[in-house]
Amino acid sequence: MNIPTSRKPSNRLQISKVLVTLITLIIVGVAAVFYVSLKIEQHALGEHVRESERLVRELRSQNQDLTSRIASLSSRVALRSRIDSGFIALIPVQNTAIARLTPPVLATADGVLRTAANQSVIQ
Amino acid sequence: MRWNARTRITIAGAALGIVFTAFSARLVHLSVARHDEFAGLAAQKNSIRQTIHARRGLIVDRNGELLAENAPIRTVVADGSHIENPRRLAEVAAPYLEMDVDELTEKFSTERKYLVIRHGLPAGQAIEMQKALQADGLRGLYYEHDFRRVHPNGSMLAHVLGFLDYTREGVQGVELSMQEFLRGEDGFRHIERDRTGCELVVYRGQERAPRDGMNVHLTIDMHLQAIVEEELDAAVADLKPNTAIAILMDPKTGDILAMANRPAFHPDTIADADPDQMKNRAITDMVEPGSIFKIVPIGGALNEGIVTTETRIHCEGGSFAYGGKILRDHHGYGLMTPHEIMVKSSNIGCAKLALKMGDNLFYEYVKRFGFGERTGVELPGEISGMVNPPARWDKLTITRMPMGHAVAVTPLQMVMAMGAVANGGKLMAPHIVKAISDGEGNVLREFPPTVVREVVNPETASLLNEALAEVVSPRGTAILAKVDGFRVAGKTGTAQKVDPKGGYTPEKYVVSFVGYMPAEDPAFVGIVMIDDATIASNLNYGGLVAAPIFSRIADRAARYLDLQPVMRAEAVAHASNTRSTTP
Repeated sequence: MNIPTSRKPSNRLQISKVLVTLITLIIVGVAAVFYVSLKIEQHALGEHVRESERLVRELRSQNQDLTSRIASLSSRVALRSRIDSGFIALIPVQNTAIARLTPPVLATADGVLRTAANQSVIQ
Repeated sequence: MRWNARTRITIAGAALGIVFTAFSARLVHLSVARHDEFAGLAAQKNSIRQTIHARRGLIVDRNGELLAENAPIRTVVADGSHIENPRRLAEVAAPYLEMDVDELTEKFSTERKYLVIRHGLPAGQAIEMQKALQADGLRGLYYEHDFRRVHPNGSMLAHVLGFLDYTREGVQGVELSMQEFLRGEDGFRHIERDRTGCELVVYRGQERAPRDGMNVHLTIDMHLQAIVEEELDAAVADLKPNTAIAILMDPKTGDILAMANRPAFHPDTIADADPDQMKNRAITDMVEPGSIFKIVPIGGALNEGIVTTETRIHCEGGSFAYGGKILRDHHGYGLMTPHEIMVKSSNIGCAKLALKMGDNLFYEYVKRFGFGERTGVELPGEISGMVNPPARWDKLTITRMPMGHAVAVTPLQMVMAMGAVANGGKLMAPHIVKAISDGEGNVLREFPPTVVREVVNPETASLLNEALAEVVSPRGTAILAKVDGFRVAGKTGTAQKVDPKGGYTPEKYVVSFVGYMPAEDPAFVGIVMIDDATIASNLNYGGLVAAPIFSRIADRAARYLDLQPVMRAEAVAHASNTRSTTP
């Protein structure tokens, strides 16, 4: 025999399932947010990489440019034009100002390394 | 009819299921069945294959001096849709672009998305301009990277170095012959761009790094090259010839130390150069060698034992009738040894030696000295010269070829042949490239000295050496080639210019001197060749025109190479002995 009741029939709230759903949603949400933030970070790093590469390229370019300018400024042709214009002068070393040094010799007697010496000066 | 809740739910569920199934089916169709089509469209719009340019290798001399290098340049382009203030942009950019402000303002006022503003702006200048524009918050100018080949020494060694065409491919000289090493290999990278055109680095695709070109080390010594070029310039100013050529080579290794031609050109301004100026005549022109060729009959006859040092050849008093023609010497000579024939440069003596050898043997020696075949030097456009085989000779050829007529050779072949005498009879292969290295300086390939063949034995080479040394003496024809303190060996050559219409052009001569120094232990062998000098024809001889130029070059080269003068050494030895006996 059914006993009449005043309570309306309804589904019983299953707390455990709600909790599982909520936790799942939170985990998915956090993972999504984390994924998005990682993507943003990745893009930002990509920008850094691009900028660094640009700087390296520029530095390399500047280096090449300067090397090329140095080579041009220090070339034989540039040197010759500066000599011709009188900006620099070459003074030939006179034969009398050249001293030929004898190579250092190990004295057989004492095994001591002698310093190089100009024989003509010594004698 | 009223549907109960269960039925309504079932119908709604089914409807939703059908809709989503349709969407899913469409999604699968788009992303699987038509994947390639849409991926292609997306790639076309946002993905590009970006070329990463390889750096062209450098060319340096044997001491590492830079001869050809790359200067980075930029092509400046404007995107009109990005320019907000054309006037201000023009004012900031004008000093860097070296252009007029009004002209630039007019160009910047365009709506075009791609307008080339300036080619060849040096990279340093472009970077400075970029910074200035960024500081003012201006945009709309972009840069395309490129490079320009630069030759710091201008026209010096231009014929050897060569130049590039507009596609950056070698056209001439080492730039062409060493193209495979110098060029390198461009790399690439697949990139994706956002709607503003900036690269999305995270979506970088396949990538291959560029392989930079290798550096080419020449055998050229720029100090010797400078000496040769200066002396050649002085000679050209003095004699005003059509062309002038000089080469210096190390006879022991075949290394070419210097090679110069006049007229010359500047490889950085090719558009201004005449094609005639660009020819490396040392390897592309052939001339009759004249008396320099006398080393062939004398060397061949001695080497084969057909004559000895004591054999005397009758030189007919200066007039020898053969084949219905008269062959003459400058002076009338009687009996002469092979040594004297060389010293006096007797045409008749050489003709008789060749006659003793016979056609085939003489021809074999011509070939053994390296005439009539390419030397194989690492330069493009080398010709082999012209040496006809005996089957195509007429009756006179055997008497004309020994004195350097009826044969055409390149200046480089002459140097190599004389180098064989200087090198104890061994003919070396000439080299102008010493090594190939990578950017870090690691040597990847070397070009070692190569003996082509033994032309004559060392004893014969020594006999030729003695005779050639006496040529550069008061008894010989090339006293003006002497260098104080050293024994110089060599041979003069004077040949009438061949007329394109046939025969010879009167009073036009190609004069030359080929020699080496010191004769006892040669450090270098060289040639000086002057074509049609503006000088009285009775003075236009190899011994009077080319020999003094060789002497000046050899004198300066000896100082640079620190060769010990024989005379001075003897004097020093004598002085030293004197001192040692002094208490």
